Amino acid sequence: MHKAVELKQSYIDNNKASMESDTSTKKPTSFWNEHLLMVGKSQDRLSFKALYEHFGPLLKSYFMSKFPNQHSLQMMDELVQETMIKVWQKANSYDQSKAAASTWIFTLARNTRIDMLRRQNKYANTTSIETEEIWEDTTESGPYHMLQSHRQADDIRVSLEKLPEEQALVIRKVYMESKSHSEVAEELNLPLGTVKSRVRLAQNKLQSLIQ
Amino acid sequence: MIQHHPDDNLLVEYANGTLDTAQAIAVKAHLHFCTKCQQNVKRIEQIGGAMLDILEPEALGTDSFDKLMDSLDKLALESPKGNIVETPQSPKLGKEAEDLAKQYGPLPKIVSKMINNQSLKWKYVNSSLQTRHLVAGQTTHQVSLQKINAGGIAPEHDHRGTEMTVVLKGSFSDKQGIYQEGDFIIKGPGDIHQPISARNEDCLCLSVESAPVKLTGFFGRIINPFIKHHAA
Repeated sequence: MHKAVELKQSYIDNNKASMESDTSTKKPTSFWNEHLLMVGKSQDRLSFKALYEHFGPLLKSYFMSKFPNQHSLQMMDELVQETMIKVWQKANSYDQSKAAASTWIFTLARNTRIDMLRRQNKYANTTSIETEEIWEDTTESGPYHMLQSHRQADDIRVSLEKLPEEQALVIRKVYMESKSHSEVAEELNLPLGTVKSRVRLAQNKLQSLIQ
Repeated sequence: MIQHHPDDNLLVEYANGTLDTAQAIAVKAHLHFCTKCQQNVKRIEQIGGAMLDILEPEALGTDSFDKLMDSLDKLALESPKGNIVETPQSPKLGKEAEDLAKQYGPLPKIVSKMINNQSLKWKYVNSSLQTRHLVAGQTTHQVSLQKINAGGIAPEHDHRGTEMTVVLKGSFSDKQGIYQEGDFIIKGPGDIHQPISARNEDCLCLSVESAPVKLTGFFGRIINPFIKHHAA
């Protein structure tokens, strides 16, 4: 129980910090999309560096929140490198009508994390199924086109900050700490049904912004 | 028209990569048929992207970018195609997957891939139901194809764990409803049912079970001890 309170506090602190840093440095979504397109089109190293300087530290934070205190910082850096290598290698298939740069990079980071866990599992090596065959990196799929505007990404950010604390905490654990619903339930000492309904409530609010 | 979908919780776990591999494969097979759920997954990924953007940045080593570029330059030297990955081609179907596709039409890629992985035999459970184990590189679930002959009746059974089923071709019904191509069905302990295939065609399903089903009919009770659970 103690732990939960602590986490909640740290979440609130983080939230404050991110709101404060928001004011001057936020670049529009299209800014990063353009850089990513440049990397895809002409392997532009300056654009890649700009992407790295913005997303690298965020990715490290993402990996650290999944594996707090368990792994060395060096390993976190390696996961960031692995993700950014994929960004470089796959930028040519990036399509900004399908996803914002941050969405696309999120899917690459998620897959890097899954790759790492699968490498540790000897059974995963008994098949030739690639992680990308189960979890796509948003480049492949179908007839669906959606222009993700700058405003939309901002709307999501604002509404994340407006979520009731109990929902925000759960959503953060599910997305950024990559925990399953039952792991979250166990950690926060809540019934699984409560976690599920908090996720659903928060999802409804957030998804209504992206129609 | 797909009527049965994974719920939001399941899609959120899938899109965040926290669902275990076998269950993720079931969701992925459903996505092959369902643009609505594809869109929902994209929305969840968008939220993920937006959340990534409000994380508190963690400093990287000062020379880390140079190291990264060194690795990329090295990759470029090692591989004839350089350090750029082309959009992947659809993998070639193996013989067995090809035969199934001829018979049932195109299957989700992930299903064809698992069929390619290993050629195993179909086994009869009763005169109408055959099952074929699939290797999915995990140990928590049994992943298999189930085939009910046109008009056939599968044995009545209960579930010891969670069973996810995706209808790949044809349709089946039980007391709770009718399930058609692309439908995603979850059953758990206490959900006793007896699937019956439509009269006009075979029904092919992907099934992912966390524990073996428990046959409940009279003959079922006799053969129960012989049902083996394969997870791999």
